Amino acid sequence: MAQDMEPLPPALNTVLVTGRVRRRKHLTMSSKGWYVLEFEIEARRYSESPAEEDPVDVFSAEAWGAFARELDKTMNNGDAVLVEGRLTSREYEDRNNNRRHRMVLSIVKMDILGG
Amino acid sequence: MNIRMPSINKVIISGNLVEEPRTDLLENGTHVANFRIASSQSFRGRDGEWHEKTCFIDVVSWRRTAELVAEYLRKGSPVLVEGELQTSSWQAQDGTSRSRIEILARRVQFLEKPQQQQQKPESSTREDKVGYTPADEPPDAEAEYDDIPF
Repeated sequence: MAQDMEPLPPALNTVLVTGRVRRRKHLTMSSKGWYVLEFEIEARRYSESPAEEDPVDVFSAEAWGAFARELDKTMNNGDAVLVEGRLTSREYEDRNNNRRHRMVLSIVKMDILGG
Repeated sequence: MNIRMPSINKVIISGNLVEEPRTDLLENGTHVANFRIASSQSFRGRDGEWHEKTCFIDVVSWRRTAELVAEYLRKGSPVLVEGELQTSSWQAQDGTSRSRIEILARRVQFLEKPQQQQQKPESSTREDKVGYTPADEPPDAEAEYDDIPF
């Protein structure tokens, strides 16, 4: 019989962002057999000053599994998208063999708003 | 009619501080506070067992929010952060360009209940409520209205 557990505190991690798809990679399969589609989302933050250019942020994004396979058929570079997902971090080694981590947006849901 | 693509950028994330917040006071008198939180998520794996995955997120806050972060948050403090995703770029010591995603905090909620002996008397002013941080106001409130494109 399982012991009663205290309810876990809510682990909130939700991101909602609009932007344009860029640097879309080919659909690949991870070492554990999951389909993964990596791309970037370019989002503009509208500048408070009309004279200034809108600052641009670029976020690394990824989709997994069956969702990745669907996006592979429908999503193209330049598409305007509304994405819902969660932040996750990926570790990697840089050229000097230092361990670093980078933030990635793991997509849960995506609406393609236009081309 | 040409419709402009809406600009949406919202983040809501909870976690615990992994270290003491780093605070600074700029030359123009603006407070800034940076901190990193660990956000854990439980999920059931393919083996049917529960696993936990933790990611580390950098947060930056400004002005009144930064002051309250410096005053109330410590390593281990549980928080709920509401804000926007942004990228910050800098040049590393070895000369290479680096960038990272961080959260620009608009609101930080302190989730730790105050100790019994440290409870403040009830007050009607929001600044006295432990755990409440008002959203930052832009330095020039009129700029918010100038941004509307119509």
